[in-house]
Amino acid sequence: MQSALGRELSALFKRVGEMAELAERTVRASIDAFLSGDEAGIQLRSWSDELRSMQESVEGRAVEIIARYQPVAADLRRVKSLMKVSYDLSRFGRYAYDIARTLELIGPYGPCELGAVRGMAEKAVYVISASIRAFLNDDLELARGIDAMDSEIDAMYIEYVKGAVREPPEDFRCLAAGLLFARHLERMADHAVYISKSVIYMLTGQVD
Amino acid sequence: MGRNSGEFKIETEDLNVWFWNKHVVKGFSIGIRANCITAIMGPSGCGKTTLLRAFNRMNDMIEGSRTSGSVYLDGEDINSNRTDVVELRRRVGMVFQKPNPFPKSIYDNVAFGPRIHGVRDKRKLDEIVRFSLEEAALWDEVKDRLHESALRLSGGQQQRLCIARALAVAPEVILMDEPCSALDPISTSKIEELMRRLKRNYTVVLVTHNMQQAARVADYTAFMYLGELIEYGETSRIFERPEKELTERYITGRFG
Repeated sequence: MQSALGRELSALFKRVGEMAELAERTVRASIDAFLSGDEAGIQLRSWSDELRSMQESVEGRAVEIIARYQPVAADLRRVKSLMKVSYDLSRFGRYAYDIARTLELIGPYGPCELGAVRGMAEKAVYVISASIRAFLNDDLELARGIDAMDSEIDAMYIEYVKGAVREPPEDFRCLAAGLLFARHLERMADHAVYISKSVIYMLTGQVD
Repeated sequence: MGRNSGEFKIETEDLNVWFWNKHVVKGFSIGIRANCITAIMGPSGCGKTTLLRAFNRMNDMIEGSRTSGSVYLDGEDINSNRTDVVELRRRVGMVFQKPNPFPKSIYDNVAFGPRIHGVRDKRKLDEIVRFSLEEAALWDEVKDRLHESALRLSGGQQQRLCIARALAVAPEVILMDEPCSALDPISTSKIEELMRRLKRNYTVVLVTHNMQQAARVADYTAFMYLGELIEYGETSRIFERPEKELTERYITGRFG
């Protein structure tokens, strides 16, 4: 028989798991739309808003659990991690929406040579999905590998920015779009790292 | 022979206590830091109270008790035959689970200890009574009725009176054995606030099976199980990331 606190934590975990699925779908949709030049702002905005409101409800329930059960040790770490992870997931949604807004912000642009940023997008999707899997499966080993993946993305980001400035594309809108996209990818990957750190903290109590 | 251990007010080394052939405290080694609140938690019957009573040799009064190993107070072995036990119990006072005021006036309760220790001067006694009641955060509530019976006070007030009584003999260490278990939440929070204040001038050791109380007030927490010290460390660490599986199971309520 699970305790009342155990049941509450399972329910909260399930809720954050649903958020994780939606967040991953949102990120993928946003990146696909950007790379293929599709308009997806309306759909992404609604998903992003949904993630945001789910995050608020998770936070509310987590605070209620703390107030009612005063969890300690692994239970306490799980509550804290669920709050933090739900925030990171809502940031995925927000950046995904920001990517979709690029088109709206800088106006229509012709086909852009996106080159290196495509590879960065692939890596970012991979690291985001890995962080989510690590969280859903309490996978410590996977979580511990995320930081190194992020370093690769950071390096690609720096290289991309330098390259774009050195040899800017003819259409300055392509430059702006590429830079914003790369920036958002880099930020999302950072949140994947935060998620992995929450998983490590939750499972081991270690913070670095 | 004393040992120089400035870091710890009380230190035990391989302490064992038996009652007849029942081994109640087993190979216990712990250092209690001065001017801190140290909580000792553990399930009922794990030996917490016996451990606490070993700190001022109260177990001596129980028939069939036997002790081995050492307990040092400021580096001096309290079990040595040169120890003045009355003086030891002055330096290491105790507050019990149930408030146990004497059926006397508030004033006489507090003045009881100093009188036993030979204080006769009325002005000196008045001063001690006032100081102790102030230290115990009770003065304002009783200053106009010092000569009323202590038994007319509420439970929470009686417990603070018992703390004042313990303070009246100018102790260095205050041992508290479940001091709030008979009190309501408001009285409990007053006693907890008082403990936090007292640690400035005293070393407080608190036995409790209320884990949240340990988490709220203690600087250091020890977890004791079946007479043994399982884990000891800063309270924040013990409650956030205990190292021992047993501690984890006990504090998260997944025990036995």
